[in-house]
Amino acid sequence: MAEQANTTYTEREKYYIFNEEFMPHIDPMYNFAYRLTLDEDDAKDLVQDTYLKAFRFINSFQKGTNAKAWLFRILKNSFINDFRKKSKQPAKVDYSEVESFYNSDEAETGVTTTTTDLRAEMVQDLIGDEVATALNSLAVDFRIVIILCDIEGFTYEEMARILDIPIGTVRSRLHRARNLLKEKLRLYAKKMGYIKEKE
Amino acid sequence: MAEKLPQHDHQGKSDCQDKCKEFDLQKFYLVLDGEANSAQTQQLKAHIADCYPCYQHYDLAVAIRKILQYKITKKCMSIKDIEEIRARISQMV
Ligand SMILES: [Zn+2]
Repeated sequence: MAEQANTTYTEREKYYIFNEEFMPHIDPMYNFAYRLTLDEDDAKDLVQDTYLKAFRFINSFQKGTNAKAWLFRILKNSFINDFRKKSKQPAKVDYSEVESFYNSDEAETGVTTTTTDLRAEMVQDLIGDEVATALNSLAVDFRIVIILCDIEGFTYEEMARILDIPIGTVRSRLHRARNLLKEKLRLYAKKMGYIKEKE
Repeated sequence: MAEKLPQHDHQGKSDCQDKCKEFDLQKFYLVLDGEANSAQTQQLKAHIADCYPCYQHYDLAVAIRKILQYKITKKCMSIKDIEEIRARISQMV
C-alpha cells in the first residue's frame, strides 16, 4: 500500500492526523462504500475496515497531501481485494476488452450517437431514485469513475492515483461510463414518454 | 421499421454531427471536468454559443452531472458506527 517513504509519527501525531485529516471524510467514504456494495451493513464494514487500515498504515501517509484521495484508494483496494472476493459477486468487467473496445474506431463513432435524442430538460425531470438505479446498474468499474469524478469531484490525476491506472485510461473509462449511463437515462426518459419513437 | 430511429441509421453519422467538425465529446468532458486549458475552454464556449447541436450535447453533460450531484440521496454513517471506529482505534496501541 505504501509506495512513498514513510514518516514516523508519534502516537499523539497519529491521533491528531486521524481525527483532523481522516475522520472529516467519513461521509463521502461511507457514500462511496455504499455505492460500491449497495448494502448499508457492507458499506459500514468496508468503511470501518478502511479506517483501521488507514490508522495502521498511517506512517505511509504524508502530512499535507490529499487525505481524501489517500483514503479513497485504500477503500477501493479493500473493496476489490478483500470484499469482492468474500462476497459472491462475480467479476463483471474485463478491462482489456472494455479498453480496447473504446479505443477502436467502432467506439469512436458508434457510442456517442445513440443518445442524441436525450435532452437536458428530460434529464432534469428524472427523480433521484431513477438516477441512483441507473448509476447502480453500471458495472462497478464504470460506477467508480462516475462517483469519483462527478459526485466527489476528484481530478483525473487524483483518480489515476486512486485507481492505479494511467490518466489516459481514466479518461477513456470515464467517457465509456458516461455513455453507458446516458443510455440508461435515455431508457428511463423513453419509458416516461419524453422520447417518442419516430416513424 | 418502427424500432429504428432514422438519424441513427449510419452508425455515428447522424445529421447534426456530420455538419459539425468540432463535435468531440472527449473535449467537452475535459472542459466540463476542469481539465482543459483556458484556450480549449474558451474555444468550446465560443463554439457552443453558435452551434446548437454541440450546445445540446454539452448542456446534457452538465445536466447529468447536476442530477448525479444533487438528486442521489447522500448516505450518512450513524453516530454509533462512527463511535465504534473511534473506539477500535483507541484500542490499537
Ligand atoms: Zn458544433
